[in-house]
Amino acid sequence: MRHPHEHILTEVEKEEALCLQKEFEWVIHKEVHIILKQLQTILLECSKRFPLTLFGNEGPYKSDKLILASSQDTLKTIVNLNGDSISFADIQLKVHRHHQHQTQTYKTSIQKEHPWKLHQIQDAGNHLQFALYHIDNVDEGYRFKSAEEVLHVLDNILNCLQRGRTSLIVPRKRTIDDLMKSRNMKSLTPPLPEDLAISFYIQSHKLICAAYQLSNVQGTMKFEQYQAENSIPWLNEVLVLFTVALQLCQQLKDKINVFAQYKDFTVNISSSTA
Amino acid sequence: MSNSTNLVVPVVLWGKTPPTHCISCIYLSEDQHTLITGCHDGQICLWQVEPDTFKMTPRCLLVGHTAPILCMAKASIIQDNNFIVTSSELGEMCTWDLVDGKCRESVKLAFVHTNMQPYQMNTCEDVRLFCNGCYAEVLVMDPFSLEIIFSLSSKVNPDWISALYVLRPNKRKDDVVLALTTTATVKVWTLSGSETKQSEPIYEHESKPIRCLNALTISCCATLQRTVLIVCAKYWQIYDASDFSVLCTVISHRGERWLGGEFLSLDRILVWTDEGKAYLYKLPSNCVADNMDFHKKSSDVDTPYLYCICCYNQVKPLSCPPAFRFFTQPNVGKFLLRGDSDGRVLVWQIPDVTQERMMGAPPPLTQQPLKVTSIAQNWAAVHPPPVGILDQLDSHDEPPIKLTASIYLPQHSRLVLGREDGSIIIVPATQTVMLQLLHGSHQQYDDWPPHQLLVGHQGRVNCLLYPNHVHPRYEKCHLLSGGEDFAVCLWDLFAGNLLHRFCVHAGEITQLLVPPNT
Repeated sequence: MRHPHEHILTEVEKEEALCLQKEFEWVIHKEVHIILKQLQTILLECSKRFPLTLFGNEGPYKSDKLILASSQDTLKTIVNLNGDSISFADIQLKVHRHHQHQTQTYKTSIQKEHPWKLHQIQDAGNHLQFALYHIDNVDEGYRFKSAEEVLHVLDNILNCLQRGRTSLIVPRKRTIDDLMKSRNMKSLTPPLPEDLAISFYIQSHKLICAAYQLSNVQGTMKFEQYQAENSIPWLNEVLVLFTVALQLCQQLKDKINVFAQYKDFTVNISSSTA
Repeated sequence: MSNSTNLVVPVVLWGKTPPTHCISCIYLSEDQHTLITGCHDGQICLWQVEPDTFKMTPRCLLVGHTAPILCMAKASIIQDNNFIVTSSELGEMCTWDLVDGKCRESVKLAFVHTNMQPYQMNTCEDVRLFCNGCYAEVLVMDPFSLEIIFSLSSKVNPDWISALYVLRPNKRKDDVVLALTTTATVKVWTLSGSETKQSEPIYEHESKPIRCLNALTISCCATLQRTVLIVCAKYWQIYDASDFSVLCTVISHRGERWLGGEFLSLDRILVWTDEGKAYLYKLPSNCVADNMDFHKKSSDVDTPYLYCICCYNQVKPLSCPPAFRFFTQPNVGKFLLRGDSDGRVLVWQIPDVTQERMMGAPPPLTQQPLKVTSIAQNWAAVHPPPVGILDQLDSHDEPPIKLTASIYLPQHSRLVLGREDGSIIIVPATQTVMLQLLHGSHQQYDDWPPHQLLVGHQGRVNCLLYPNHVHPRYEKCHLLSGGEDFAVCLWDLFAGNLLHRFCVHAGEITQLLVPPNT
């Protein structure tokens, strides 16, 4: 014979399980779509900040004029940023020449025939675009059939957003040799002496101009680095929106994960409740 | 597992439950004896295939990638050269020997490929990999050294390449790379075969904007090379290769998205969807290159005709789009492979439907798969079931507690196992292997060294670390564990007790590392 308490407990548990089941179906059928819609709004806002042709974003784009200066003005640059490329730049670099015991100033420029492409901006824009495609691929009235299915979609979106954000925050590493041989270096007018190299890249919301001076100290190559930077206003907003979207997406994923740990939870596809 | 420090023989105890294998990529080797499936967790499964019956048996699980496998390609045109190249979402690339499962070469690139086409260029003895992905170039790589031989750049609107196809036009000696950027610009490069890394940047010879954003695949009809099939998620289109004008468009069915497609012949194509189905179409006459009506404006009466649907009635819905691969068995026929989220593999034979049978446009035929198999099915067929490390602890009434972390301590010849319920179990390694794998009188002994049980975590054990193994400055008796409960536990391995429990408020502990010496 069963203990009466035990019987009541299972009844309560049954009810709780039923409630959880209902809540799960509500999350899967309603909440997921609501959050995806919010996510889409945020990402479209983000995409509007980009001066590129992206999903829901078509020109014209204004260009930014930025002044990048290092401490003591060793490196000074005036940059025209057009879309994802530097269409014009005036670069002035003061270099100390040890053997001559004097400082020498070099001037060079980027001309619009050979723009300096900041692929980080294009990469971030493309990753963002792919996140939007993943959302767009979920039809409005679509009824998800399992927690795993939702988690797959969310993982895809999360991955895109993460990669998009990372491509702005972590610049791709290049060797000094690659930099020296790069097309961008070769198209500087007038060319710089062989021991100097210039690089432009994005680090979070800043445009950075780095100059490297190579020297041969007793057979080993060494280089000194000068750096000038300035903030790109729209990039800051882009990063904030990326972060907000990531959080929203992660929260939904956590919510789904709570239900996903109960393995016997399945969605009743035919049910018209929810 | 050996006690000698310089030889460790790995032994896998699989346990009763099969490993999850959510297939992201599928490929059948050139000799059709090995099927290769890559999954979202980064593992690669090799299956033994009987080419006549398509009986498939999982043979090997290759571990090396740490992210989803995005694409794979053969490494050679030679039939019995059994090497394959795989590439993951983190830019990891590996060349594997399909015979013994060894990784012959591996690199990690800053470039993530979404597609690799193995192609034998005019002047080359063997194939090179033409790669495209999350970067604005086409990279041409050597499949064995995994070095970039040269790259193709764009002058006009450089952007990520979303689809690519390399071909040699009839009666010509040079090779042509046809590519589509994500922003729908078709680009054409012509290669002489003498390109090297040092040569001047190789720019496209032609570039034309068309209207198909985010194409998934592009392929050329092999017979006359005049028509091009472009598949996007929401539609597929046939183009005239000479001027890239659209000849016909087919929108995806409700609730489905196209994933890819191939030409079967001049006037037949095969396209597949994320719902796991494949559709066969007969092209209208204005899309068939040797027809009088070619390139004329399509008429309403002459639209692509759906004549067959390949489907499979799965019980459980798929949790993500499956992977497909089309292949031909010479003298036997055409086949389509599908690998899905349940570690299941299907093979369809593509029917040859004659012109006569299509007269009067009857409703499409339904083609069921020729063969269906899965890892789980193969697992269930093993008798007795594959043994697990802690089978002796399992009671038969309750499902076994999942193992979530493990390390091997060679000095002690012991195996430390963290479990889902927060318990940590230490067992003698050699005895465990003997007990589970070798049959004999030792299985009847009841004087086995007992296992040790460490209790301190309140949730899944995520990671284990024996720091002395990395550096002798750490105590020999110290063992560390990190868990879902935000806690790091320090254990005395010999006494079997908890020394400290450090709790952080930051989150789950996912990894424990020994800092470098300096």
